[in-house]
Amino acid sequence: MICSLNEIQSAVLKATRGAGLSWGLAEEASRAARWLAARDLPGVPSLAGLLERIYAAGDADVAPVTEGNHWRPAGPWISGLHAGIAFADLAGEIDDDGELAVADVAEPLLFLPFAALASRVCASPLAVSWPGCEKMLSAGDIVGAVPIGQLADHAPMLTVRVVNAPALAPAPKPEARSVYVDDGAWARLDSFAKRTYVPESEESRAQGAGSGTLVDTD
Amino acid sequence: MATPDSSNEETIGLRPPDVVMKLDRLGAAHQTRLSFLRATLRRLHQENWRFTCPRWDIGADGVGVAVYAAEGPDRTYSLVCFSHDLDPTMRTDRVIAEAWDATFTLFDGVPSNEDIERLAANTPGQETGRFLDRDLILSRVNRSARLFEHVVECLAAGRQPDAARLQDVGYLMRTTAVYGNGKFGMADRDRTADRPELAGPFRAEMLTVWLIRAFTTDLADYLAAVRAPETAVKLDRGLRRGIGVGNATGLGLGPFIVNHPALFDRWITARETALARVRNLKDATPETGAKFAELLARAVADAARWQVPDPLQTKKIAALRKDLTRLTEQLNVERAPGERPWDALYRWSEQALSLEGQELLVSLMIEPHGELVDDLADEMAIDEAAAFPIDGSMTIGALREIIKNGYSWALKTNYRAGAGQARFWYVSDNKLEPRLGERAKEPGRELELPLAIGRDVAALYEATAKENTDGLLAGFLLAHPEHRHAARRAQIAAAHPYAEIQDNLIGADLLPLNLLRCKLAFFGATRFDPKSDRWLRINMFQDAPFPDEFYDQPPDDWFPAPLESSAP
Repeated sequence: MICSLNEIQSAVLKATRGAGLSWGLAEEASRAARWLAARDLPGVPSLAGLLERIYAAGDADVAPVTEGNHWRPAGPWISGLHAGIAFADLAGEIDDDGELAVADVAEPLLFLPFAALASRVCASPLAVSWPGCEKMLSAGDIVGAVPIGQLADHAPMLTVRVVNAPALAPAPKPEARSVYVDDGAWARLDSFAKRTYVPESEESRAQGAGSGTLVDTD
Repeated sequence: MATPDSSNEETIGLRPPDVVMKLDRLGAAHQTRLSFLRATLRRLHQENWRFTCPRWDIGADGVGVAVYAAEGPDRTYSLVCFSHDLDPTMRTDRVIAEAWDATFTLFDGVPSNEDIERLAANTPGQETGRFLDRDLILSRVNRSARLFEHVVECLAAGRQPDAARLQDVGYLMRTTAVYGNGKFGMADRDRTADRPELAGPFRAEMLTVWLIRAFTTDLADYLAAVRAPETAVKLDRGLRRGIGVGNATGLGLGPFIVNHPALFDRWITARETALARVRNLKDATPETGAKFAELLARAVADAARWQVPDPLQTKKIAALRKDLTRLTEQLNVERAPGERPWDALYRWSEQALSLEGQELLVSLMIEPHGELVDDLADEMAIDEAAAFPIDGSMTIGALREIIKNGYSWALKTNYRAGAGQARFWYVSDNKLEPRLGERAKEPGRELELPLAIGRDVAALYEATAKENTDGLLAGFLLAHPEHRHAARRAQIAAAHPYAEIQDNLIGADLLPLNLLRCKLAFFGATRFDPKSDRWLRINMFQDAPFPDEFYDQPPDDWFPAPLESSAP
């Protein structure tokens, strides 16, 4: 289907929360999915896949252990979303010639929007790569051609390298327009989003949005 | 033009957030000249926009299609109107309705016949339709059954409708929703945000409602004419100006100003800056003094007409009427030498008037100072994405400091007591709209929306109490993702002083109506008419010029209503 970016953001916000992640993480996921979709990258299928894996993993910790230059899983694997968020949170601490390796990353595509943000904060280009994908991020966006080929849903290793050079000119900010979203991925998101809705009860019907009379003829 | 005081006297700053951001004061807000519908019409007027009705294919039964076009220097926007034949028993103001008297899409450009056919298949279904990114706004209206038929009947019989009845209702039709920003596949706000005419908040929505208003009176004229071509007359222009667009607003609108803290800060900052500029003036010029006296007289007449069934609002209106009498007397009080007159008046009001009176005075003081303040209307938008990222390099100590300074109102509330978090916000399953529930009685509290800002920031403060103050926020949030949204709020609020409503939004004593009233006042609504503690009727564009008289009328002098229109 064709969706607006705002629909994607809002569906991902609910779905991420519906999958049991905190509101703060859901906000990050929703902006990341929007960022990817605006660049014709398959953020929605990636996110849907990640949420299913997180949900299936139950209480397992999918965040990275962020010690030193080699992040390892705290649990079975590292969520690309969680790794990205942790990386962007530390963007102010990035060294000029730093390098980071993140092991065992699920849905590595979700790391990219956060690397883009970090490249703006640290004012250095960042080279992000995992098997099958190599991208340069600078000044908050992707440098050069955006298209990415067939994407792996798992990276045994994802690396980030600070490029010791002034910021490169990124691709211009994409025009805000509606984008194609895979129907299947959208339905998977929606099944998580539905978990955030409260079914009607006698009490809520009585209170509702507060409108007393249903039929208004004045 | 008067200039701000340049003497050595201390500059009067903005009113502090702990005064401005209390919910009962926000809920006493009135339209100002910075309100979005005012700013929208000013811009259209300055740029000499032209308004036409290129298509009117509506039958004698009132069913059909009409198109209104607004043509500016660079672009045209078209309101595509679908007029329906609604069974009166289907007419409901609730957002969960499924059929309406008329439905609308604001189209980006001039629609082709194919565009109109596409919209004809989608717009009447509203939320069930799918739209494209050339469609900007979706809306619908219901007729005021008691007034619409009366007006058509009178006009058909060759006479004008009863002015008192027009005045009493104030609109022929009311909207029950105005959707934009990417809903149902429409254009994202980002798509139009850099166009000068739509750069301010909700400009496309305001243009839509203003054009809908023209449709409502045109339809009444038209139906009268087809009913009795020999005798029918058109609605008198003076009477017509008193007709706005009604609006019924429920809880769905409430969370917006909570969910957009950096944007809300811009709105409040603009209004407070306008007030401060006026208060800093050393003198009132004879022109502004006279204009203010006229506006005050208009406000007195307007308050006399503001009658609602709601007992609480009735009390507030009674207090407002007394306030306006005292304010009128106060204008004759000699001021002390060296006093800045507007500031003196404002400071007097803080002691003498109710909140309704104080906030209306703010609007009235700003009103005659367009040259001094109108630029601020262009500063009420913001790129919210820029305020979103968390600075994880902040130390826990620094985070606790900004919470202590910015959220003292939240830290002193006892959320463990039942009354402290008696309510919870959630999204209902049946129509996906925000609702407010009773935590102790209703199911679903585990699905609470993150609108309990005070409670959640207080919880973050408590959770960080035993952390090393030199530790980084990034490390804390990695271990405690449940505090992430509160940490973001705290950082946004530290940079945006008017970002937070400084009250408990889940407390037993919460009056949700105040959230709605505040947002609606920034839209520029008038005639607030509460129907419960969580929904109200309002009027938009009442007394504003119509498109077909836009350049014959003073474009921006209709708040409070001019006196001639107040005569019953």
